[in-house]
Amino acid sequence: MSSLSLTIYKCTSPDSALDKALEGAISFNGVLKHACTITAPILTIARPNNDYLVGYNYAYIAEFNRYYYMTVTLEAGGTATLTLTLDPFMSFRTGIRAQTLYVERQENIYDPYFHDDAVAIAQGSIIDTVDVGAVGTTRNIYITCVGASQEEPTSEE
Amino acid sequence: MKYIDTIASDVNDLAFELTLMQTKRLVENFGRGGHYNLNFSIPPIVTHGGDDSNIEYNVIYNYGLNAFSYSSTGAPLFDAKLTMHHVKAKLTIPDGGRVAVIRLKERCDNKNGVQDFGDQIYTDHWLFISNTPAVAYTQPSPVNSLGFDYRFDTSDGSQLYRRDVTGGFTPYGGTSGTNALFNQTGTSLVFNSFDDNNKANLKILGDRLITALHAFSVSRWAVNVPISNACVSCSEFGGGYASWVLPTVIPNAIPIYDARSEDDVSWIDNVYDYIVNGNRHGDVDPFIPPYPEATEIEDYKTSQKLYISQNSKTNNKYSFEFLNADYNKLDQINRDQYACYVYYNHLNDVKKTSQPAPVVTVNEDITTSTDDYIAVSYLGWVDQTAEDAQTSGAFKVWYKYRKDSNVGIVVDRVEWLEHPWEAGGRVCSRTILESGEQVYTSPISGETMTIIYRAINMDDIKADFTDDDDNEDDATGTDVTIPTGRGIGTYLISEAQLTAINAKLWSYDWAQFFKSSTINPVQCVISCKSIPFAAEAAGSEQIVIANMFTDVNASRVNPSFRSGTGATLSVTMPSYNGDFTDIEHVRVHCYLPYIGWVDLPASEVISRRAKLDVGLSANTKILTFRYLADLIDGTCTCIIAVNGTERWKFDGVCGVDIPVTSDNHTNAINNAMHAGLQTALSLGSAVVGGLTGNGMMSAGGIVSAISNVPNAIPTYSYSSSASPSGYINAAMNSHIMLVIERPNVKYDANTVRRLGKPCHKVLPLGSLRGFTKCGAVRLEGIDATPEELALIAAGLERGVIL
Repeated sequence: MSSLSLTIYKCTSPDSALDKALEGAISFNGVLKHACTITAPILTIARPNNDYLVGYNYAYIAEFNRYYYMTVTLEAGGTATLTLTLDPFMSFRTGIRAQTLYVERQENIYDPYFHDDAVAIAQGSIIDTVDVGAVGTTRNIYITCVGASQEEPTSEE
Repeated sequence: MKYIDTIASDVNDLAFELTLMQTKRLVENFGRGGHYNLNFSIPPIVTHGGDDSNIEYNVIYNYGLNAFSYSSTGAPLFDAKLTMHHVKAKLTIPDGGRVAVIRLKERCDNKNGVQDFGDQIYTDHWLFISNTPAVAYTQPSPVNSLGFDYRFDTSDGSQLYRRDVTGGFTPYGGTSGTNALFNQTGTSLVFNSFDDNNKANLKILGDRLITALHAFSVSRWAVNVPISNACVSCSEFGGGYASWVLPTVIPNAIPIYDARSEDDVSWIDNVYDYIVNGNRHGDVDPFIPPYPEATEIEDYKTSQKLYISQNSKTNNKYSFEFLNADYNKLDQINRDQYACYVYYNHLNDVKKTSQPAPVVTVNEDITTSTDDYIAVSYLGWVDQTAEDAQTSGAFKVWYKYRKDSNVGIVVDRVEWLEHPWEAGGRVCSRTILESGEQVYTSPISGETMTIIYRAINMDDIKADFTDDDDNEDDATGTDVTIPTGRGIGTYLISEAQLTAINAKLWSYDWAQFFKSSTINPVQCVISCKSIPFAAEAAGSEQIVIANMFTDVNASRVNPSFRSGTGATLSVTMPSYNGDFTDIEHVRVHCYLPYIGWVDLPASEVISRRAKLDVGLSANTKILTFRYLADLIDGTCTCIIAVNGTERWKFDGVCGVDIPVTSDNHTNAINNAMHAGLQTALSLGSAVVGGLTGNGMMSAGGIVSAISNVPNAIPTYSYSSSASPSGYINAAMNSHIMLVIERPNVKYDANTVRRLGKPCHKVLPLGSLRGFTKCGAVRLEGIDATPEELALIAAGLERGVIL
């Protein structure tokens, strides 16, 4: 069985990050333990310097050109079994960035006037009072009367 | 459609002004000192200087009153990371020359997925490129071969510095080169030919600009106007320059190329093809200049632009009240890693608080100023609508890594004009009046500055430059006026006149007269009421009742059925959270004097804030309350308008019967005895003194009681579904009150980072940063297996951090 070029990393980025921050790269060869898919290969490696690979959780297989989440199972005799699961984001990040998609939620580009169930609203309201101003504060007396005719008014004299 | 190459004679000497601001991101991208100093000064102003205290992000420019300020060692320090540059330039275009406009988009970016504050800021900016003849100078290394890496200092007449590979600056030696984009000739900035030599440089330039936070801003531009004629504005730092020159002729359209997408680099080839060959493919839409084509100042009245100038230590103090715990006073806050921007989009607030104030001093050392002042200058304000205006406003910015803060203005939603610095304190602001006259306010010690304001009115006719003359502005409907003559008349009378009329009606002479008649004299009095609103008086005349003179002269009221002045109030409504909670969870209760409590829909009365990156403009709601009163039957109506559009009408009773007429005599006294007297209990002896010996109340006594009511206005009101009498209403609060219940929203920045907020737009993922959750994912162009595509789609629908 041909060997695969493997680089393992310590990854501290969340799974949901498109770009992963990787450090502590170690490169060596591994072989497939048994038949498996490209999305979930299981490899057997000889641990370099009998290292226990503490903290290593991420891998890249050059032949597949894909990144993987990794679980390490230490075996006797200085070997280890690496159970890999495809990280689709990191593996295809360039292609993903080229997509134009319908975005339901976004951290920065959003319309604040859309209803959002994620907003937490505590019980109880805050009351504000606005005094617009006073109207009708001056009293005026108006009398409306009928003159009764268009003729010259009658004099009392 | 005319392009600039076909009307080249109109656009010789295209002067413009731009602002460069440079960010840490820019520094990191290019791994250099990060100073792109392009301080062209015509006439000589600006260059380098400022605070050399080596604070990160310190300002190393200082618009220093025509001085070229060096550090204490006398050498220019460009190691500090630069934040802003201001450029004035004149683009000389020969006949047949071509100018292209490149639209850029600035963005405040995440840094390694970490963002100190919430929002990214997107703003469009413009870059002008032309094919004018080259002015040769030394060709530096490619990365430095942009004009932005050069500093022109005309203080000594001719020095031109360029940044060398060591990060320092060396004087320009005058040798020739061809790759620079533009250069200085005399007092003009001249663009070089755009050709294969500097084509790559333009790409680099574009990259830098695109990745900068506030990369590039052409805030104003003009043609055929010597740049030296540009007026000056002011600064809180101590002088400098900036302002605008108005174009006399500008082209209708220039091809524009969109370079706002980081991933799309084709625009550079399109620009090149247009400049060199005249082919216009790839231009996205015509560039509409900031000003419409105009040759007369009057034509600017159609402009939708509005400018606000900041003044320093001179006049028009604006009281900044930023630090309310809940930021109620702030219209919009944008934060990024480096600064916090607060926008004052409510121009009405600015207007109200910017009252003329005495000038204290002239040419004061404003570096030490602790107060900020804003004056408002309107350009094209004549037909400014409220909605237009709300896209403009003043802003204040605090820098995270700086000790100072700046005040600036927002020109419109895609351009913002920063730092209207003052040069020599000569001119504080400019106002263009309706007549077209330009008023430059010059502070003189002791002088009272008068900035002419114009209310942002609700004129519905754009071409109409007179406020409040449209139906929409004025009172709708037609006033009903009783015909003059001896028919029917309504008079404004005093209490003494009322007593005199009452005495006349029941005098012996009149009684004798009416004995021979079939009518009772009081039947000729249709109404006598106390109304809390003033009506327009049409002149004094003797009151005639039943065709008989009363010997009482009073003001006849015209019109008879509605109130006149003093019955209109307005209020600018707040925006609380600036999101859907303002609509869904806010309750607006309104107390209307003489009417009662009514509820108004929050969706229509709460102001909305702008979020420009998703196309939301601010929408400030101004409520206007207008009362109309029927002087005869005592009813009143309050009409509530939102931004000038009448939306609701509520009816009530404001008149108090005065028992003169036969019709209301009994009712009035009953009301007074049962309702009015209850009020009187709290009014002490006011009404008691009006009672007659037999328990009846005289007209004069009731008038006295009513006249005491306003002195006992309670501080609160209650709601009632009944229609209270005018007596009770008169005793209630006469203030229009808004009681607004708003939700107690618990915002958490971490929640936004993990969940985002509703977007509902189709967007290129390459343009986004931060958490992004997609829906209905359909992937294209990814070389992956179906299983992997399914994994990607599922991941995008769960959410990805870009």
